[in-house]
Amino acid sequence: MRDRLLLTVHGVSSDSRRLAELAGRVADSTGHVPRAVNFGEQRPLRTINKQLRFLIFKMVSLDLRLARASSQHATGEAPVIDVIAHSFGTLAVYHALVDGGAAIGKLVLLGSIMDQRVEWDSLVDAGRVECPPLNIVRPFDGVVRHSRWVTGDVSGVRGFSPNGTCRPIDHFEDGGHNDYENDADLIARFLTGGLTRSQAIKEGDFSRALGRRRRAWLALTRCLRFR
Amino acid sequence: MTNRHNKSSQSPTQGNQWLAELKYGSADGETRLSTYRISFRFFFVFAQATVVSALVSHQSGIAFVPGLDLVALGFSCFLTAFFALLERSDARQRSVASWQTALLTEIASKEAALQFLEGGSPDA
Repeated sequence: MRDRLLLTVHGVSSDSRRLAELAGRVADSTGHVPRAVNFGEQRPLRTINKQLRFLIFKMVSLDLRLARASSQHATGEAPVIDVIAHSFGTLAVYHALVDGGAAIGKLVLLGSIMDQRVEWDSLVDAGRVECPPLNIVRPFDGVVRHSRWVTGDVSGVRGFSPNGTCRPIDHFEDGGHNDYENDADLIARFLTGGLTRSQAIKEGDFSRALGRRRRAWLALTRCLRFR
Repeated sequence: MTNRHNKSSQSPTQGNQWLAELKYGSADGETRLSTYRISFRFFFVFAQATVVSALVSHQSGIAFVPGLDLVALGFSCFLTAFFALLERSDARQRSVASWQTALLTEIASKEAALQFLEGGSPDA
């Protein structure tokens, strides 16, 4: 029997237990076995330390590979590993896929600080990830917006830029950096194949649904380029 | 005389415990105090004393050199802030160092487990 694992990779200052609870609720409806990658929580600015970042990336890639190896060792079959990554965890998963030799199934990004111009085609062709990933974008997410100062144009504010044949599903919604409790149904639908690109809320639809003042504020903050 | 003798004979190490903690940290041995942390403790006491004396001098109007109390007050505030910042920076470095140590330990155990399960190199 092939295992279906749902791994959560938390952010630096986010609560890993809350993310694990979300994974638990998703797993209740999808039949996954939830597991959490935990590399400890600290203040976000401490990840400026390069050695620390390298260790976190290495730890996440080892965790992903270990989950696959242990499940394969127990059942004799390679498991399906789907991943929910939040905040700094999205960057850690990206490095695990690119440099760490990890391979996963479906990928869900919450508050992503991955670069907008990620080349998904090369990752998909190498069998590292299934296409398309789901990127839940919150344009009012202050943490992600300010992370642009450090990481450049991140995909958690405006989604991924069209690049190649594999285009992630960008789903726009309102809320802050840690307001992902209500996303369990959406993620479960995505993991079971019930969420299509046309059902995801697009940037234009999201902006039109906002009030005039919030729309103006969003437009203003987009005009201000800090880098 | 007897008391003093008893005190020193009861536990020779206890008499220097405060100094040992100041130099080498608590008994768990994890936190070794650096030079500026020791300096911070001394200067903090010194600064408090200076602030109090400056305030008393200012209030009572007794000052040998006019304006010296305010200079002393400013200087002690500067020293306190300076050493507080050093202390904070030291605490941050120790926190990052302990996080790194924990990560390294966990990475080593995971690499060993992966090597056992995959039967090859963890960097493969």
